[in-house]
Amino acid sequence: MATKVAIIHTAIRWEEKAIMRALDRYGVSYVIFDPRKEPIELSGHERYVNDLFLQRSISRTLALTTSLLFELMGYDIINRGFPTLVSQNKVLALATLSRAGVSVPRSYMIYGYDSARKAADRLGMPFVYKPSNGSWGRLIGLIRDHEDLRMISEFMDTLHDPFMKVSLAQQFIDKGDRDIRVTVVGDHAYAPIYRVNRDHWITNTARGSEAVAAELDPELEEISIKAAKAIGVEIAGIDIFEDRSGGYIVNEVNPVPEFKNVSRVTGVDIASLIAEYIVDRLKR
Amino acid sequence: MRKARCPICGFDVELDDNVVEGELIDHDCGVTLEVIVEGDNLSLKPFEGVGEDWGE
Repeated sequence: MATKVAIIHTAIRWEEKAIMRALDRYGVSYVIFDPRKEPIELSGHERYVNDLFLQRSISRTLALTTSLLFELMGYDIINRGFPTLVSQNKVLALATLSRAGVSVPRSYMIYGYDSARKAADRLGMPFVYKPSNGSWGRLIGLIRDHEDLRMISEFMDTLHDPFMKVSLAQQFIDKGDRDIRVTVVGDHAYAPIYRVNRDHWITNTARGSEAVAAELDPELEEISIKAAKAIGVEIAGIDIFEDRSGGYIVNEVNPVPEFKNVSRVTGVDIASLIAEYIVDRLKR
Repeated sequence: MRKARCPICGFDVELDDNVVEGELIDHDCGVTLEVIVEGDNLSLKPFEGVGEDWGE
């Protein structure tokens, strides 16, 4: 039987293993592919998979590069390259979401102190300073005054990679002690959880937040699906703030979502939903 | 069930029959281990930790 799916990975975590078990249950043949271990031949002499790649690399660099690369080589891949690029880049993602009518925090792209200072004047203090490309809540700072801003700007100036200096100045949303993670697979939103952190304003579970099952109301469902569609990702983790004045605000769209905690606290088998989606996708 | 030795504590680690290269195993001794597959042989090495570009 020809192998139908190749799972791109850089570590087999709980999530990848759960997807593999689900594909086994659905009778879908697959291989796992670690781009750190295998070279990728560029001129098409070697065939890597017959039908579909599933991107699960925990390395964001390899996720982006291999999604773009395999798509350019003519393969089908979930998620595709350009949507992965946009979702990994917070500046591009927020602009794309906003243009599609999805509520996002008021944000400015900044590059260096001068633009950061002007953004600060327009946003007011405190505001959130974050790199355009980062994850798990790393390198995010709450700027409370001009001294904070001067200090972080000087640190950013020492970076050698100009891409790392592309940053975001963002309105600080009073979201209480939690945000919401919704998992989107295909045209459906599933299993929202609150990520609760009573000790820190950053609420990523990678920063120690507690996962608690939440309810999927129609508005939350709609904004989650709309956000994924706007970016063009088929599988995604949508991070959402609850604005105290009412309504939901999308903060991020993650193209290689973790879901161990989601499945644990909600009982929803996200891995099987992904496998079902792959089965449907293979029929198209 | 297959077995491999933990390179940190020296005790055996039980692994599923369908264990795969690159799989991460949380061992009782507190270390996260990465599975290495060479032919029919299984071994374990300490997981090197989070890369600077890792994330969702």
